[in-house]
Amino acid sequence: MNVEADTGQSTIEELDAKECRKLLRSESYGRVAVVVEGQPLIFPVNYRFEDDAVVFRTNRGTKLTGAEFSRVAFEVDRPAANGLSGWSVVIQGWAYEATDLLDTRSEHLLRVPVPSALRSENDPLVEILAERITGRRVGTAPDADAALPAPSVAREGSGDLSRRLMLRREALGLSREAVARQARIDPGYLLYLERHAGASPGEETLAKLAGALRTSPDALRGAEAPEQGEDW
Amino acid sequence: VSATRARRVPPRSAEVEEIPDWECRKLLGSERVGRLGVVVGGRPEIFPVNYSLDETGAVVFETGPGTKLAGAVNDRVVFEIDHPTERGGWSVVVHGVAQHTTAASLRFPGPAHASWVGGRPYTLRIHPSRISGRRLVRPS
Repeated sequence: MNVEADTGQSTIEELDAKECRKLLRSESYGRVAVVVEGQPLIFPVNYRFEDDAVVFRTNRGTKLTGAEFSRVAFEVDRPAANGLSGWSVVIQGWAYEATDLLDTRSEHLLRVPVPSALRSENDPLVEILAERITGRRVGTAPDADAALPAPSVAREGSGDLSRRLMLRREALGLSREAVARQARIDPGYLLYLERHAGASPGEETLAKLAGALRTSPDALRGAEAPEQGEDW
Repeated sequence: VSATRARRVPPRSAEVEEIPDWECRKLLGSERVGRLGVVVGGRPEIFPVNYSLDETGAVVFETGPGTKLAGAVNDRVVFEIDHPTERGGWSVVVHGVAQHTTAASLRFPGPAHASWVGGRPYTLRIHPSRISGRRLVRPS
């Protein structure tokens, strides 16, 4: 059996987004990868998957604390005892300290009980906003047990800024990176604005975003009906 | 969470202790799957991999040519293993440079090292420049 496995017989199945989210919810232990001064670092964390985000507590004074948005990767896996089969899910995204932000979503996340043997409620809470979630199952056929839970419902508060930002961007067929570049804002911050319904950027930021999205700040705020010919 | 949840911070329920180098090396021999962290275009990437140790204690794993992992050759990488348990657990982190190798004499000649990455085998080796380990100890 071992010899056969050596000929590259192992099967790899890509997991869809729904399955990845189900697996992320089923675990509470993962690893965060960051780049510090050009060097990759990995550290394990206890986490919780909530509102389509990974949240965990960390030490004050580490790379991920403070309001900076850092690019991170997050990984969860469950290998079989022999290591030859199992599954893994990887998130590419942005981490920032939720403790520092005042919006309804961050406030909600701050109340989420995050399992941790080491951290207390006073330690900073870090949120990872997922930009891309991928997963794979190795070696064995997918287990057919456990019906999938209902998919997490996208937060579509009626007419909020975050939703309008995203819809406008998608209507123009622009990537988040492209809009952020043109508006001269951090792409992590744009992702944050698109995901946090209660976030309120300053006038200047909103003006820059409106420019990049070829619309007006009022239209983004929802204070004005879309212009004629706009399809959003 | 109940609104009446106490705001007082409970005492920390666990402590961290450093794992000595010799024990880190022993733990590296006890696992079969680890995670490799690399920097690709300035971004962190993390991949689970099957691995073995060679005679010198270097971490050896396989990948397919043309993958992001293969692009990590001659770069500084990080490799992590861990073992969470009910009472705490441990983790070991290896820092080093990933190098392409053709003739690895494996201490644990296991099958299908490439099972988690796919593709035709392309063997990489990380000779540890630094090993560190931490154990979470929860008083009983």
